[in-house]
Amino acid sequence: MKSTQISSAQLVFLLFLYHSFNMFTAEAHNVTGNYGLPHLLAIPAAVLLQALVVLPAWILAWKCRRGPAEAALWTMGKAGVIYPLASSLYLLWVMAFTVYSMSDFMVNAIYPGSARMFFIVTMILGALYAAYLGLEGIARAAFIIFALFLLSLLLTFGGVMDRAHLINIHPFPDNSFQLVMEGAWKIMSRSSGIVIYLLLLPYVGSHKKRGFWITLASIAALMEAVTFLVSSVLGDLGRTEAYPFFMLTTVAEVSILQRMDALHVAVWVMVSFLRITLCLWLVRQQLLLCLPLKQQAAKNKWLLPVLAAIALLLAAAMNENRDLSSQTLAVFTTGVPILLLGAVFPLVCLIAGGIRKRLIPKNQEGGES
Amino acid sequence: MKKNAPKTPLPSQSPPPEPAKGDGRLTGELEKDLTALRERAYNTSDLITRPITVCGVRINLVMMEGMVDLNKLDEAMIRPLLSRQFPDGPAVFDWIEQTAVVGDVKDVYEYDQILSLVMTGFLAVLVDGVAKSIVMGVQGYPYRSISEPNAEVNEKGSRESFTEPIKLNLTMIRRRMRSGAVKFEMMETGSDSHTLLCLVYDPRAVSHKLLQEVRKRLNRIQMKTVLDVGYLQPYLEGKPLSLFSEVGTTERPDTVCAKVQEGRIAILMDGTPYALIVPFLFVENFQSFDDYSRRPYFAALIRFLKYASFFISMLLPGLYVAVATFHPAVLPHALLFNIASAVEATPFPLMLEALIIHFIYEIMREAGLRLPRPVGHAVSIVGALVIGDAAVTAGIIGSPMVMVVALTAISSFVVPSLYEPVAVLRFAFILLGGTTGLYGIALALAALLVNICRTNSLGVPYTAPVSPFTPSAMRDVFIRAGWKQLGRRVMHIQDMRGGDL
Repeated sequence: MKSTQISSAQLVFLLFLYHSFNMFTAEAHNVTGNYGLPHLLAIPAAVLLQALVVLPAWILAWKCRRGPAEAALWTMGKAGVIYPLASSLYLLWVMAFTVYSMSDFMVNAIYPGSARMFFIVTMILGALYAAYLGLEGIARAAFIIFALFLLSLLLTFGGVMDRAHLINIHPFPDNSFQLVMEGAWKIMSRSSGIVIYLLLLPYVGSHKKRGFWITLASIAALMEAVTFLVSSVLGDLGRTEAYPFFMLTTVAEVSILQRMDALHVAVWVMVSFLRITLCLWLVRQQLLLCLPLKQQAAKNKWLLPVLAAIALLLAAAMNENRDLSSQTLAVFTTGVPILLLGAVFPLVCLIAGGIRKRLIPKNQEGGES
Repeated sequence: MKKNAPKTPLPSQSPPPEPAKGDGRLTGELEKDLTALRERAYNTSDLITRPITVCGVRINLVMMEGMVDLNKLDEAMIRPLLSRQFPDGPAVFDWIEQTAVVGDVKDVYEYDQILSLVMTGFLAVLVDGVAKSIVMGVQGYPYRSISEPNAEVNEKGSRESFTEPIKLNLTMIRRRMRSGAVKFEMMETGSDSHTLLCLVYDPRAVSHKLLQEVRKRLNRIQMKTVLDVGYLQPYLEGKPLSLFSEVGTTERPDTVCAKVQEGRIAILMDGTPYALIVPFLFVENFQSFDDYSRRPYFAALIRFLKYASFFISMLLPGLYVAVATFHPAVLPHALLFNIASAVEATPFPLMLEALIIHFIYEIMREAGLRLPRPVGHAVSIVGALVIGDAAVTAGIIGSPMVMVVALTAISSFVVPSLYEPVAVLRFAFILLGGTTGLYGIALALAALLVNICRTNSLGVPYTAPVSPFTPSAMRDVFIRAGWKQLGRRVMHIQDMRGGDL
């Protein structure tokens, strides 16, 4: 089942684009409660926090020479199935929320008066097709979408740089430290990309740690740049906007292109597509891990459409009941899913593996970084 | 010989092994052998058997009408033969075998093999009392002479293109590669047509895994008649229903030589004036032989033009419809007013206008291909009047749409190898742009991208070296590096990242 291999560079592009989805709907003032320097400082703090949270899972993967989900099954036997099940459930929810957020953005910002269900259905159908094609196609496409994304970013940044005013960036208030820590926690808790990274580990050829650090650093750089520009260009207007980055693209001017929002929308649709596809594919892979080897091939064919249908129903439910989407975001923001999948379960598996002598001894250590 | 059975490589220069005795083998009795040959050829009227007698020994020349060069035959064999004395049939046979001044001479024992060779222009000599035949390559059938390529025209390079006879094509390749760096491996396909195929590759550069895979796929062909090398394409492709072909084609022998040096395999077929190249990458659609004879900066400019033309021809109509219908705020004000006034003056929605006019364009393009030449220019006049003038004057379509069609049409001919998928995708993007705007176009583009990226051409990623990114191979993708850099090391196809060779 793990014959698919992607390079660490492809992993970086996938995770970067996955993470960048949040930037398009980032509402900085909801993250830190303050728009300025505390939020800018919260970003690197969040990077360190993410690395800390994922450490137990990383150690587990290293000790068992397997991905965390496979390691859970290896160390805990049948009880280990809880890890792939939990990660599948989490990712399914993330996927549905992503689809819902995307449709919300489309209806509110681009196509007012349109039916949200149209965007939900079409995006899930597209993701189903791409997930069916497999991780190799998704990973290779990620590089090209990354290039387009970078181009749109550079054009947007170039179009607004002359309007950045440092005076718009709010200085440190009295409770800065608390704001920075809270902001870092919230950024970390919404970064489902950590779980994606852990679940993709078995499919990455080499240099996995390097890929992880490059991803975090590049995402942090992106978040800093976007936050800085939104704050310095839009000022207090960015605080009240639902989609501040989109607002930024509408005011960006480059030569005859009076607005960059069309390019932004096209790239953002591709980024959403990639994120949803990756989630769907990983959910399928995790569920297959829960099945005996003999049944995996038989169930492989129909699992994707069923999962896509479940995600569609979830997104439709969020569409009908906005409280559900708010509650979903609230649950994500607690950080509990990330902590459970990144730290708690792996710690339990490490302990179980130690007890059952399933971990690789020190004299056999050493391997790829 | 079994019907519909895959064929193995033909016997070439080395003497063939003695076949088992039984039906299908020459008996040595001339009349009996001739009767058997005629029966196996269903008494076809173009099979000629010409008897001659030399010193009392009866000989018969078997050939197909119009396929043998009689002058060459006369000079190489008949006159010297008739001027000598021979004691018996075997002596005549030995003399012909050792002395005939022709390039290709083989001993053949079986009726079917004789017929197969005779039907490719060989002459078979049957001597009474000898249970084998000499087959000589004295082909003299008429064929189209070497001409300029139709689709791969260039300014500075060679003007030779392939023709129908496979031997001539092989000669053109051999003239350019005068070393063991190119090997020809002959095969046959088609249980009725016995069409000759040739695999061309560099034995030092080619991946053996690739070679085995190509042979395996060609041996899987179970057709009675193979008339064009295009028949082989579905067997060589992993996804025959894909929009983009994983198999390249070329009319040029110099292109074949260059591709073979990169570890690829070219497949030539008798009767087809172009070759297939495998593996084939997407970026090769934008490379032409002229790029390598121009200066690098100009070649880079032309490459950029080709990429831009590809995207324009595929996306421009759809983007125009999407932006004008759903996102007019994107356009500069002056342009927006012009488009708005044109849209107001026409009865149809922009999407329908685009579909109609592109459909009419495709009809005219196809008509221009099929019409006889004397009538061909009438199509251009009608096209110019109908699309260019009458439709706009009558208010059926707007003038911005005419500009879009014109630019799309011209752009589509910059990369002719991608015309088919681009033509289909263009209509799809017009429909998507007109119904869902930029969202639909972006979503479809993303899905298409994953589809293309997923494709592997015989073990090599179709989107290589862009993705997976191979830095050393990028020297000939968007730009063309100078020859000092290109010539330093040949980039083999199996060196691409993500490949399975």
